[in-house]
Amino acid sequence: MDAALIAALRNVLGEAGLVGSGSRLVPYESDGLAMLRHTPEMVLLPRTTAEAAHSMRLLAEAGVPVVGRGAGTGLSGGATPVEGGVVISLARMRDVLEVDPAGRLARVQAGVVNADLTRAAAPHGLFYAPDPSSQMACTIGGNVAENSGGPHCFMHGSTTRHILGLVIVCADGEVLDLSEPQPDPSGYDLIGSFVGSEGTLGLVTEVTVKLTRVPPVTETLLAVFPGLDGACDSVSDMIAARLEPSALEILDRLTIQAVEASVFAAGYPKTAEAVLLVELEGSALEVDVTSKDVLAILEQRGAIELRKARDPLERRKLWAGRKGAFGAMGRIAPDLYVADAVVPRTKLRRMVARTAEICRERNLRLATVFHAGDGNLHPNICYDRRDLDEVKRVLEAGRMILQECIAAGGSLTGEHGVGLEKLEGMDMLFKQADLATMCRMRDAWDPERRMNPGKLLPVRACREVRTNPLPGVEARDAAAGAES
Amino acid sequence: MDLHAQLTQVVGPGELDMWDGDAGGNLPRVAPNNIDEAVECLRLAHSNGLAVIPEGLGSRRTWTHQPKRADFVLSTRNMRGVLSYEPGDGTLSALAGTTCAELEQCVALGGHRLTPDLPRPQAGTIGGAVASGHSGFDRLRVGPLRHHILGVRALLGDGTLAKSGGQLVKNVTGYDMHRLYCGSFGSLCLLVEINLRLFPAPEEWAAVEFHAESRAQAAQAALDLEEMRLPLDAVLIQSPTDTSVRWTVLAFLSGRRAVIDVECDRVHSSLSDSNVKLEMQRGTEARSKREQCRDLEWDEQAGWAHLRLGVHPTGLPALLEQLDTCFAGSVAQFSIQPLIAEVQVRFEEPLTDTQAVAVHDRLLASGLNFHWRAAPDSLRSQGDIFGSAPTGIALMQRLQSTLDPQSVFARGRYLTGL
Repeated sequence: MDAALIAALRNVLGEAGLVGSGSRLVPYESDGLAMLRHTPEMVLLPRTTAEAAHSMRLLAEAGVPVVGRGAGTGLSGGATPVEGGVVISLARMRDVLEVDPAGRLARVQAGVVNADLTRAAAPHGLFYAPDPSSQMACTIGGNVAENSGGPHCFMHGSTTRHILGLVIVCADGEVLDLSEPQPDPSGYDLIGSFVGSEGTLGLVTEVTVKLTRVPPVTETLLAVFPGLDGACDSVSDMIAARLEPSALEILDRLTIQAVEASVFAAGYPKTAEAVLLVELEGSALEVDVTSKDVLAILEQRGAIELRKARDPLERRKLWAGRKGAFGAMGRIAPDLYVADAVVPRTKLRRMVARTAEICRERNLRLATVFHAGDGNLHPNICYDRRDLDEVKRVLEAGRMILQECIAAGGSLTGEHGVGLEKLEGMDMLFKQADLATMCRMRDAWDPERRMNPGKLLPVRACREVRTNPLPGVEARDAAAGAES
Repeated sequence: MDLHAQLTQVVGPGELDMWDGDAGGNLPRVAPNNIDEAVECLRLAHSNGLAVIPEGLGSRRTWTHQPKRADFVLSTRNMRGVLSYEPGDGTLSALAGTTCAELEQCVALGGHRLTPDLPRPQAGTIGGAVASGHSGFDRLRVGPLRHHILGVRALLGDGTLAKSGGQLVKNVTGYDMHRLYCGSFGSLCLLVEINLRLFPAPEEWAAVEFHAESRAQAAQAALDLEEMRLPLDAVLIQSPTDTSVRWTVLAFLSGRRAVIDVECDRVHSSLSDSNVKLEMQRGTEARSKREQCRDLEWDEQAGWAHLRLGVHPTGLPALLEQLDTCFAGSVAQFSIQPLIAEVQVRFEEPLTDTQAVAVHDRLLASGLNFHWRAAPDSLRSQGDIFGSAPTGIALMQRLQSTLDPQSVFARGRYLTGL
């Protein structure tokens, strides 16, 4: 990188705001998708929006690609600087700027950790609802970029429903201050279309979030099943009966064993084939009424054990097992391929069974833990990256699972994002015209396409969009056209 | 061949009429029967440099400015029907010209209710609702409409058909273009297909009504109701009328029957303690009262002008203070939804041009976030019924230029020339 540019950046950020060489760059080579790596030319650590904007202006003048990074907990390679350039880390932007209990909102710097925001809101009887499993580490800025979910998004919705305002540093260094919360957007919904854009439109530096009231009563149920089918069918029945729990999570046998052998041990029965965690929120009466209906369905679907958390401690323990599941799997294999796909909730049982078949056919070990209420599957394939043949089979299984989910009316990702990992899958789901339209939006924000290049859209330049839709997708589109 | 003949060639003679609208008098209005015909209409406009006004049933025509120039109106009214309703998944896909009433009836069969719960659902299309970002009477419970659009298919100005999102309740694949289109008032695309998330139909409804001596007392009562954590769909405060000098507070509840039974008892006890006389309705009566209040929001047939003021809840007390100043000299009635910070202002007699401009100038000076609905023509031709230019207007203009570079969708109807 040009010495004059480095000097100018040092002048803006100070010595502590630059990571320029050697082993200190290694942590920035990838996010949680460690199999895809690339070393950045430099890492910048601004402390304020002004520092970030000044840095971005300098980088724009020099034409340097920019990759934003929260905590690096993403699982799709979104923060991997695949085309080199500079990583801008939010690690030094960790201030909670304001908690407004009356307005039920908070304003934070984008590097604030998700769980820290809820901690700051807790004294006011409020919490921040999106709760990705990585919430102890992931940042609000990263959550905005990925439109992150989590177990309780079943009731409360993904990140986009909780963002009231943003401060964005655009590719040219201009600061777009959309932090003033308004009930509806004035003009086009810039915030709504920015959330989930995976860092390809700009760098978010401040976020105004909606805070949610802590419910009067929360009840957590654990249902143990002799097989995954019963757990999946219970969830489909609850959706069909229009019941409204706040979370519905399923763990399979291998996951249960990993959790129970780890520090996250939650007391799940080790011999169970599947457990279903159900959480209910609301007034005491609402919870009581819904709980009776839920228990009836669980029994009817063959639950062999039903347990209600007796106190907050037991509830936290049950959830610690679920949220620690990915970490716990380190015990059963050196590497884990965490897939993320969505299917209509009427097709849960079939798709869960199919993912197991695909892995079995390739002699792969599968641990499944997923947000069943949203139809958001996480088949986790265990592997050893030193075994190249196994890596090949893992990638093949991952592709097959996505293809089958799409053919079933599903989608590539429910919460991890497209990033680098699913770039090739985009043309299975979208036609060229769909992708080209997205490119047009990107061009309005970042005409030089320097923000997080090589992510989300399968293009180097939008004119190179490739299209290879699945036969099923073509047929569905044709049918829709005929019906219209 | 003239435009009329060219459009007739695309859709047939029965689907073309004249529209007594904006921009210098009558315009041809074409109603394609399917997406292919709509594509042809847009290609015709694109290749001939024509400007198009997208429309559903035209019920929100006065919610936008008069365009700078328009050559024909493109209506989705013939593109109607439910493409798929999945009761087991709680999702719906429909063509944009389907009325909200038709969708309500369809999903009721599977035990769902439609969001948005809009006034006069038989008079507006779902495409029009999404294009105008019109959230419904159930907003307090479920949030704004834009949160429940799962995906769309839209036609760009050059006739390109592009989809965004899908029909899944959770999905982060690709940009959420549908968020950009929602509330863009047809200035970016013509929506042709909408996918929505649905909510459970309640087992029981309740309506609670009582009076307060002042606006402040009524607002406090609304906050007290919220503190009780009731299953509220809406809380409405109505200003005094010719027949009453007091403010009216209405609360609408819905949910499981056992829950509503108990919650109604709680409301009754709580308000009885304060010596407030209340009326309570249940079931069909409550639902009918709710619909009556909901439909008041959009009663343009009465010849009133409507104005929607939106502020964040924290700004509501200040807004209430400003109301009297902003609307001095006009006979205005306020419907306030304090818990979602919305104020509808209705003028009981048509405003004169002078009155309308005076109110408008005071609103602009106040810095409030507002939007005139059913605005008088004197304001619609002026170009700022959406209030002052917001932050990011330059980016919005770039977005419009990249998505519709030839200005096929008539410019100037939305805010600041968009």
